[in-house]
Amino acid sequence: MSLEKVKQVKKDRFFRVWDILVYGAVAAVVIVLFTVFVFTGSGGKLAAVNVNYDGKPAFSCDLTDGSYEIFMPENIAVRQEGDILTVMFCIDGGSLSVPEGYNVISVDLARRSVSVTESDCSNRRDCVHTPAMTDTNGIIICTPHRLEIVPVGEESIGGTRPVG
Amino acid sequence: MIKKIALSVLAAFAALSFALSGCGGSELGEPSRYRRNYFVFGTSGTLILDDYFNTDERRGRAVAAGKEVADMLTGYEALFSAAQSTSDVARFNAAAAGSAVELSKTVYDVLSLALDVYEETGGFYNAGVYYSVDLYGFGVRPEGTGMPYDREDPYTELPADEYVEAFRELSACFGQTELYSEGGRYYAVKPGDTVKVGGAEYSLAIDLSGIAKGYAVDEVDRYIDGLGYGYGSFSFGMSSVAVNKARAMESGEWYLTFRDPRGSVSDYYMATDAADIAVSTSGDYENYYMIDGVRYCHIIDPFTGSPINNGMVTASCLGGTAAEDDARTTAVMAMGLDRAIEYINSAAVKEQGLKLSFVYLNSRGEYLLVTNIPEGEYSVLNENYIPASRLDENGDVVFTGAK
Repeated sequence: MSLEKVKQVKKDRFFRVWDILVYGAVAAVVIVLFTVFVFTGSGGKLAAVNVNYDGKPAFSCDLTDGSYEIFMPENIAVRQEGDILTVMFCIDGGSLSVPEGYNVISVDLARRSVSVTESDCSNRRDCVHTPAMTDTNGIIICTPHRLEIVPVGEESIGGTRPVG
Repeated sequence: MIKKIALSVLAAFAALSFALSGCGGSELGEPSRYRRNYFVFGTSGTLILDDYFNTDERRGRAVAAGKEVADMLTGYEALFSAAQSTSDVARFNAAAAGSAVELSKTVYDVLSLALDVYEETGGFYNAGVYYSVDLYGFGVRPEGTGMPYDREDPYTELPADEYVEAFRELSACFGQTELYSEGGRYYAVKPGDTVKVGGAEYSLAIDLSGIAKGYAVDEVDRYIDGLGYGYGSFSFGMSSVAVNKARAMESGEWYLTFRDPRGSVSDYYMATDAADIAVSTSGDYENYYMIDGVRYCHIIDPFTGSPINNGMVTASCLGGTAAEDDARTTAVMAMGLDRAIEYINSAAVKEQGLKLSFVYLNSRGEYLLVTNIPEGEYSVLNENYIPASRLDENGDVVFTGAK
């Protein structure tokens, strides 16, 4: 760069008016994009859960108002303490009182989350180690007990597929 | 100056249009996910359809597809389940040695496939290990059925050696099973071999559960393809999966994350991108028990008659059909390190373009990842898993780790 060019650059103002307008327009677009993606995306908040045993409905709970319904009274017992519903489940031939062949499902109405906290299904107890369900993308399955906890609500589309 | 203003306005308008169109502002509305779960074959199947379900008609079509899939799966279970005494498999198992058993076309086809993979893998996939699987407590039988080798607690007490050896010997005749069709009917002829042990005589019995699940995955995948659902997947658990395209990804490829065999169900050790493909995995972590610090898993080495104990931890296969892949990954687990690499480098695997990976636990306690997926096409998600292979100029896998 020649000496004259350097002097010219030093003399020039850092921003010209129309430069600022262009930058302003770009900033406006960024703000619009942010708003569109963050505030209008399908959030998929957990509204309700269904608990199915052997493919049939066993229990359902509406997390928005705390109401619930038991479809298999021999297999399901519910205890409520504050915002926490403790749902005891047992398989056919198991026992709710011993307990045997069981899963304990914790429903947190305040946090709108559902998880399995205890089970005697297997050594690995995958259902217990599955992260708490907090949106409509999750599902908790206890294969040995043929138990599934399925979210209810609009489900957003993900592109990740666990295998293995 | 006017040019500058025009350009900035144009850029802002284009960006805004792009943002809005990306959010699905078409007349079809937002795409969403239809999911239905099934309990069959003793596990959970999941159908996922990612599409536009903004009208009752579109929703109704998805629900009808989900119902049809349920009927298909119930039908397959009735044919393949060893727990149902009326199933084709249970009838084959109960038939006398050397007799011909009439099968449905479906079971005939799957048994034919099982025999093909038996050949391809040098006998390491062997559907004739039914009694060995049952002996170690992993079998499925009609309810209330007792066997002479039953133990009070099969998960703390190992079976007697004489049974292990007898059932190993019996499984070796699986390759002699003959298939034929006549007048539109399908038959399998059981080998004439029998073994006597513990005062009882046994003829060949087959366990098609793994390959049958894969077959069901293939058939459901074909069915949803035929309905025009190009985005979605069908799977049994995480071990047998057929994916179409991923609507959420610009490339259309799913980000496939492979389960960490020593972690929880939500931990992963490897990932790769793929679409329109079948993926199957076998592992020593799915169904196992420990006795005196030794892991006994449900995968039987047909050449020992016992659960594998060769350092193989998990194996996955992408490509081909889910049915074949289920059988192949079982075989790779049984092969052990050296034979598994030989198999990956075989013409059969190369010609079909299969992507095979496995994890091997070496004598130093290292989990080594061996794969024919080229570097850069997969990523390791957990540092406990060490890549221990490279591809040579012929595309052959070369093991670079310590045994």
